[in-house]
Amino acid sequence: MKDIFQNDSEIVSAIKSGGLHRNNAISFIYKNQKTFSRVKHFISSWKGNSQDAEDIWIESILVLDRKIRNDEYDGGNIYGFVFGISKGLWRNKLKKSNKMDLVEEPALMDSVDENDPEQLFQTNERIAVLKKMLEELGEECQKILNLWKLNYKMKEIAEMLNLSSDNMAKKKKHQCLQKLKEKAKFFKSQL
Amino acid sequence: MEIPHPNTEKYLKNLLSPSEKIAFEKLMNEHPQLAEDVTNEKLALEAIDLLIADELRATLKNTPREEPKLIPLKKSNFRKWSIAASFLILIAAASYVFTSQQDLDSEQFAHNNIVLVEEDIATRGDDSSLEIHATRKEFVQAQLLFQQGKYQEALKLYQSVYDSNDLSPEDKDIADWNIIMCHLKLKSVAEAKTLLQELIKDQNHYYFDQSRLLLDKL
Repeated sequence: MKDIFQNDSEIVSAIKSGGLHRNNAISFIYKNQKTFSRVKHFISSWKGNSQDAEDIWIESILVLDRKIRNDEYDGGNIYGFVFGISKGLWRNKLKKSNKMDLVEEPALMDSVDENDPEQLFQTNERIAVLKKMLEELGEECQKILNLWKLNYKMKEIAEMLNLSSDNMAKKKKHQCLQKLKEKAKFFKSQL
Repeated sequence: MEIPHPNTEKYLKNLLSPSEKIAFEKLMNEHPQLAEDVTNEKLALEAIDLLIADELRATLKNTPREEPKLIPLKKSNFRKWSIAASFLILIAAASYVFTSQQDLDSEQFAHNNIVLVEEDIATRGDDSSLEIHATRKEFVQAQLLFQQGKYQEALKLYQSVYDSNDLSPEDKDIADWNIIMCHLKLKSVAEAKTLLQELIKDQNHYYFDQSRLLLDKL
């Protein structure tokens, strides 16, 4: 199993493959000290501390993971992308906490990428509704859909969740997705 | 329950070709039920992504970050190497002294060089073929006697099994060597020498090299 990646395309394909390949690729990015140091330096320059840097670094990797899995990542340098996301998220956080008047801080504004942090992350209200949908779905369905979305094979899902066969896993996944769509139908008016 | 359109998932994952995408969007315009189904599935997938993000966030928060390693100064490296080298010199010197003493003490040499085979027998203890190989049992018995310090009895038994011609060539070589060890323990150095000289006539003997070395030291 690969745990050292030579280039960005290897990382992207590992994340898309899912399972342990994805875990290793994400761990590899997370441990990239060089980019993390840049993020840390940037955040400490804009009223943040080490913990803020760590939180933003993780959130940026989550965005990258989601974008790659959903085929929304359009190539380019992965670490440059993560750094750009980090800056955008930190800008958004400062804006929300009113720690800084962004208009008066052109340097920070210049460093923000075109990606709008509002687009990158859901609002708290939206997250609350989505979490309610998941709660009502039940634990087993959450596990099945989680594994399915991470591209685990039906056979692997069956083994991991002690289901009798891969056909049973497929059937359960279909039922759970339908159930979640029903919840979405009900809850979407609250969004 | 609605039956999902086969292209819904591909549409949401941007996996449709441009022409397929246009066709699917046209279909959604014509069928509001399909459009609603796609919206619901999109929201469902967004919820699953939230689940995945929560899980990954928790994992990363528990993943240790490797701090940059500090390279020690050359001065401290030199000190470490000096200590290591001193230890090596001490070990080499002690080894030399120990070997020299061993050369002079033929009894101790015999004690240290008796060839152990009880482990071999123990692993084959359940083997019924051992009943047939009574000779080998005696051979092991001889070794036990040697370990108990009963060298005379051990020698007798070794010679007995040796003369029976039931031993395998490997065991025969071991018996040759152990008989010599018994003589050394019994201070029959001359006898040991004679046997060693006999042994080195066979260059294919397993203990040929050791025998030559031992002869030089005696």
